[in-house]
Amino acid sequence: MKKEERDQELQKLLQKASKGNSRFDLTSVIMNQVIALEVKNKLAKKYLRRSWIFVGLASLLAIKLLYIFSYFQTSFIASIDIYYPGFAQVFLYFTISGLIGWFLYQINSIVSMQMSLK
Amino acid sequence: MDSIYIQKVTAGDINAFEYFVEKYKGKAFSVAFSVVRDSTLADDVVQDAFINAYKKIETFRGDSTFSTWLMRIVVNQGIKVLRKKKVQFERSKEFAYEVIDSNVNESIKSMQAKEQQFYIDKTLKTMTAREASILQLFYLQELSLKEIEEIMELSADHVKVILHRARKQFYGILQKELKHELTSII
Repeated sequence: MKKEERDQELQKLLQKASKGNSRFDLTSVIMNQVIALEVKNKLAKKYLRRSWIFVGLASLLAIKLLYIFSYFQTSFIASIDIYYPGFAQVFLYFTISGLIGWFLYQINSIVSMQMSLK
Repeated sequence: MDSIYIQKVTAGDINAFEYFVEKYKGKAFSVAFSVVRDSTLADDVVQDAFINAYKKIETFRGDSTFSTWLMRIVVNQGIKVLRKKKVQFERSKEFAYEVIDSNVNESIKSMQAKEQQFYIDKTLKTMTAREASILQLFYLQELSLKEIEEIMELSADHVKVILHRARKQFYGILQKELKHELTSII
């Protein structure tokens, strides 16, 4: 079907249909959106670069805090151990058995969850 | 000319995109309006389509013209909007009317311009969105069948079948609307 073969009557009828009007200047609206998109992309790239610095700093801080905490914990246990000899061994025993218990509990939860899914 | 500006945009020149917006905004609006039949929605469709085109411009391979590629985005965006509004784009609707084109043409010609516009708009809104879009792309935008195939992502035969069905559907609904008007007056 070529252009000349179009139904002229139908074409005339359809040309009478409303064409619709844009409410605003599309060029400026679209270009503003494009610029905003580009700014957003640039900012995202910039923050992604910066986020590595923040992650690095946060990790260093976490290590430092852990170190301070363990230092105070050790000094606290050592000081009590002076008055109550053997406290450090008992504390260590409870800590280790607690950790093992927590670990076994986690394994048990995972296994039972998988069993219930089958 | 388009290819030069495509290179500029992909190289990071945002302002070069204004060339495409200025050149195709009118056509994009007409095509969007053909699909959604509402000025407000058509505005939104055009904006979103241009933004999508800007985001995807690097994927434009040049298999078709930029205009066809952009219009495909516009049509897809229009369909997306219709789906959100729960308007079915494709629907198997059969119109078993005995349509006599000349009778419909004569009846509508006797009406005033505003009345004609009212009935034609009503008919296009009643038609299934796909049929109405293809009919308008072919008769109003005067796009070739090949362009419609590429825009609608349909085969040549399929487009011809839909176009034939759309023409029948248009006259069928229009005739029904005019008859309804006539009986309500009587």
